[in-house]
Amino acid sequence: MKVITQTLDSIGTAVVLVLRTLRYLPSLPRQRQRLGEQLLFMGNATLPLVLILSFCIGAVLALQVGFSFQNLGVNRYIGSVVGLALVRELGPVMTAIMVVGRIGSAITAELASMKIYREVDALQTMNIPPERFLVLPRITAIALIMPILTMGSFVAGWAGGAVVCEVVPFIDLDYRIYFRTLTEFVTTDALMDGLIKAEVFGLSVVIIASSIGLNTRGGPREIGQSVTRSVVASIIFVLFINYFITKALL
Amino acid sequence: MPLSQTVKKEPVAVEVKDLRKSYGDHEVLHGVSLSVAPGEIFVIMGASGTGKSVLLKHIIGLEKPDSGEVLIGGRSAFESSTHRDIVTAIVFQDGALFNSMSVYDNLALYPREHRIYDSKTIHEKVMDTLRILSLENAAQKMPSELSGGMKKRVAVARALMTEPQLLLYDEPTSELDPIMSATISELIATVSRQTGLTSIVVSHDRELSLSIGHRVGLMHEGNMTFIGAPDELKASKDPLVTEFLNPKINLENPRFRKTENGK
Repeated sequence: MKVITQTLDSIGTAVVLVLRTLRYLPSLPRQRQRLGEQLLFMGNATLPLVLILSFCIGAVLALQVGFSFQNLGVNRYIGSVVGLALVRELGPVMTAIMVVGRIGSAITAELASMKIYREVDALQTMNIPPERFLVLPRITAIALIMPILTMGSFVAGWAGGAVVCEVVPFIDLDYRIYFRTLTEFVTTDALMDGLIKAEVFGLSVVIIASSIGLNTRGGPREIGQSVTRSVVASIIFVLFINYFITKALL
Repeated sequence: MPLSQTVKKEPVAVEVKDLRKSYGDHEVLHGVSLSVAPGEIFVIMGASGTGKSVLLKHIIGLEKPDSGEVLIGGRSAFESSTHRDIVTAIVFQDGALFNSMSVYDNLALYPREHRIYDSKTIHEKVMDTLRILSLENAAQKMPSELSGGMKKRVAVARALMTEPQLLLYDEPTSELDPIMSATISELIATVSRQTGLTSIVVSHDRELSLSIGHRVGLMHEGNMTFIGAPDELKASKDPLVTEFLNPKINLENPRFRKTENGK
């Protein structure tokens, strides 16, 4: 019962944070410097990892599919399977997991530290709302950067699959055929579905991370606990909501 | 730039009426009342854990009480509009400087965010304020590169940049050596004298309280047990006052043993 109450309380706190932050949306142009800093941080922190991870996942996926298809004579459809799997599921989810690890954890650690060391109090006493100064640039930055990260993930994953199809002897599929079937099946709608999913995941991660960070109480030990809580809550939320978004988009 | 130019508006009076606050079962403030006149330096003294900082948080509007009132210039301190219309600032115990910003940006943040001046004027005001506090060479330093005394002075400088009508100080001389404590005390008195702003200083620094405070309040276990001029405080025969001002070190019967035995 206590866990349910705490979960509902956390969700309520996060919703209130979002609503308060949205109130300051008109002041976004004034936050452009901080928005730029956040975009740079999020891109730098996550893009290389997303590309490497997606390349490896695309490669492994092509290997697995190629192995299963080798006696069925349908090797040319590897591209469609890899392409769709990456666009509809693996790309958005893996990007979100990377965002949790690299961006969400950093946001919680920074905001929790600011809260513990009273920088948030200092902002409030200066009549600078933390939602406007701290949360709005982060939420906007993730909304802008998530489609770029996700598209990067798609392309790197497809490339990983193509390399495997070319170099693994038992698959032996020309990359042009791989990409032809891939483009046949990966429609604009499928791409949009993947990008919408990723956008929801990214926003959720930053909102959860900010909410947990700004509600940290105690000392340095609690900063660590908040980061752990933020990472766990974000991953569970992403995987949980993934089912419902998938169902809604099918 | 003289300090008097850092405050543009009139100083305000502060009135605290029967303020009560509990955290769980523990009542921290047991109905505290006090009034501070415009332009006055009011020092709140008391042992650690007596509720001094909690009282300060109520005045600045960071905490809401269970009951009672805090009026700043006749308006409730718990309404955010009061702190928008009456400029109040606080110097936190540890400075609470923004660690990701340079000293310069810490000072420039308030006028930038509130668009009070253009960037040229902000630059001039920041550099002038840093110069007054002998911090001009620290402008581009990060807070982590500053000593304890410098952090406190930067915190005061940042508060002055808000051009406050009421300035609160939370333990401004804690963790400082005697010379730096004296420097900070002189700074508080000078700021008050030259700007005329109202100052409330929470401290258990006897020298600071008796030398710069116009009036001193002594808190004990969530109550204001004494309010008066520094001379009245020194002359007081109240055992709580004399014990606080001149604690005798008794190695035969140490206080912590009394606490352990519940006596």
